[in-house]
Order: sequence, then structure tokens, then C-alpha cells
Amino acid sequence: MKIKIEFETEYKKVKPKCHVSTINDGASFDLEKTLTVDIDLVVVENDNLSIEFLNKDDNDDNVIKIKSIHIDDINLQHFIYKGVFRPAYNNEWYSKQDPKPPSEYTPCLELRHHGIWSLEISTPIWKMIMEQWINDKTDS
Amino acid sequence: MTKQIPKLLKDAMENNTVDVDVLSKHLKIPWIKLDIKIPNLDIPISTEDWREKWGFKDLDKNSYQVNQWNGNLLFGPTEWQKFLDKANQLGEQIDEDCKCRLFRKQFKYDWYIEKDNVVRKAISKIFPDDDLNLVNTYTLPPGGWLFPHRDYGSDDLGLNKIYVAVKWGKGNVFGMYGCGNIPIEQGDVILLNNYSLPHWVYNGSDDDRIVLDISANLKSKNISEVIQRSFINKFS
Repeated sequence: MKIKIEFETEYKKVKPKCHVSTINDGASFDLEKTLTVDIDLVVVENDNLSIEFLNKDDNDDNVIKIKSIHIDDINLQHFIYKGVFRPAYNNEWYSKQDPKPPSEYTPCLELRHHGIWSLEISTPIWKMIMEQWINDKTDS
Repeated sequence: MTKQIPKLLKDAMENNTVDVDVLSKHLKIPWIKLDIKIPNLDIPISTEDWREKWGFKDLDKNSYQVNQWNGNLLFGPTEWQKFLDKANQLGEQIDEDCKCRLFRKQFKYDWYIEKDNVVRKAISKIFPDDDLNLVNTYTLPPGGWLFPHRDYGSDDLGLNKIYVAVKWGKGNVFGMYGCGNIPIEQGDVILLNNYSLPHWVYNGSDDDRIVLDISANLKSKNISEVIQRSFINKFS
């Protein structure tokens, strides 16, 4: 299934690298300041789209920002905010923190640590979006 | 049958009628076609920028969410900017109908069109001005669309919007997720629940699609009778 992800990054010298995957498929990318990644990945009925920040460099302070995601040519719009980022903190940095930072962040579209951002998805995508609207509890 | 029955049961049996409050607030059915027809009305395509008027942040008329969809305000708050400053504090997600409903008693509301305007005359036959919250057009030229979305209110309403298909050529679509397309024909008047399910519109006809959107007190005498009658007809 076609997946398009629009990235923006921050870095001085160390260009961020990421691995985009579903449960059964994946591909790695070297990112630029802005880059749109187009890939075709196997997506099963109930799947998980993941983006792993592979080369966080604390000296460079490189950052990956997810700007938009299209799956099957459908813009997931604000539903990307349902994604969860689970950082794998640098041990040395983590030991110095008091209080300790959270084990996961959501909503989160900026990856500022090594770790994996993931979003539960299901197919067909159009139906997944409709179901998310139905279950949206924004209404009082 | 014994006449010795509990008072609660007796009262319920004797007094239970179709209640517009229950229909609109508790039943989450997506629409009811009302047993009335609105005469042919000559409404021009909108010249006003509906999104700019309401201060929507995304002002791109041809953005992802809409394509050429627009509307004109016909009845609503007269101190517009004051109203908007207050109403937009509720957040962008609360829809226009709900904003006008919530502030009905805080601001002066009136018509934006002349007394002899055919639309005003047709609506005034059904609703006294005091029972109106918002009247506007929604217009969509051929090829225009409104993307799948769900509207949000702040008062948990279901059936709410009176939706008049003033000009509705073959090829127009009003999709309601999980329910198929609403079977709308030109002249139909629908009581619409735009809060429970995602929905979308597309004009696949060769002509402009013109809709009249009325947010009103559904307990207003004339319309409540129509709603009650329509409900009984549909579900009997």
C-alpha cells in the first residue's frame, strides 16, 4: 500500500535517519531539511505504522518532525496526533533527570530522542478515518 | 385487563407523545425527511466568503476540506464581530449552528435580507423570528465538494439542522457514513443530524447546488408539529 510521509528536520551536520515500517515491511531513509518519502509497504488489516529515529545525536541535537502522512492516497489529517512516541533515552542523560521524563508522548510529531513513533492503523483507510470520527469524544 | 396498575405505568401510557426534545437530543438517527415542501426559491450562488466571514483559520477556499463550497448569511447575529469574538472562544470545532444557538439571548439577531425577499417570506411563514438562530445558504457549483467530516456541538444534539434542498440536480451526493447517501430530491426538507456521523457532499450535476440551512427552535409550534407528524409517518 502506498505510504507518503512529509518530514521536516533540524540538524547541524548529522542528517537524521529513520526507519519507516509496518508489521511485515519497512525501509530506511536519510532525511533532508524537508523530504517527502514515498514508499509501498505491505499493510495488513490491523497494522502499526512506525517511524524509528535511528541516529539521534545529542551534540548535533538533530530532530525529526512529521508534517503529514498519506496512506493509500488519503491524508490522515489530524488523526496523526493519535500517534505515540516512545523514546529510548540516552542512559547518561536519563540518569541525570529529576523528575524523570515520561516513557511516552502523545500527541507528538517531533522526535527529539532516539525512539519509535507509532500509529495504529487499519484498512481500508477511509473506513478507519470514519470510525475515528465516530469515536471522537470531542463533543460534550 | 386490571385497572389496578402502578401510577408510573398509567401516567406513561396516558401521556406519552412524540417529544421533539427526545427526538433531537436522545435519538441519534441521521436524518428524517420532513413532510413539507418548500416552494421553488430563487437563490443566487454565494458571493460572500463563508470561511472568511466566520474567521476560520484555514482561508484557502480550495483547500483539502472544501472545494468551492460557500454560503451566505441570511439571518443571524447583527453585531457580527462582537458575536464572533465571543463565539470563537468556544473553539473552531463547534459548528456555526451551535454558536448561534448558544448566544441567541446574548445578542440581537435579525435578517440580513429585505422583508419582501422570497426566502425570508417562505421561512417566516413557518418560524417567528424569535425562534430562529441562524439561516444561511450553502452553495456548491458543479464539481464542488465538502470533504468527509463530522460537526461538533457543545450541547449533545443529534437531529438539529433543517436542510432545504432548494436546487439539487441529479448527480448531487450527500453521503452519511454507514447509511449510504441521503435520498434527497429538489424541494425536500430534511431534519439532519450532522453531529453523530461523518458526512460529505459532492456536486456531480451540471448546475449549482443550493441549500438553505435553518437552525431554529425545533419546539416552535409549526415545525414541531411537522417533526412529530413526519416521525410518526416514517416509523409507523
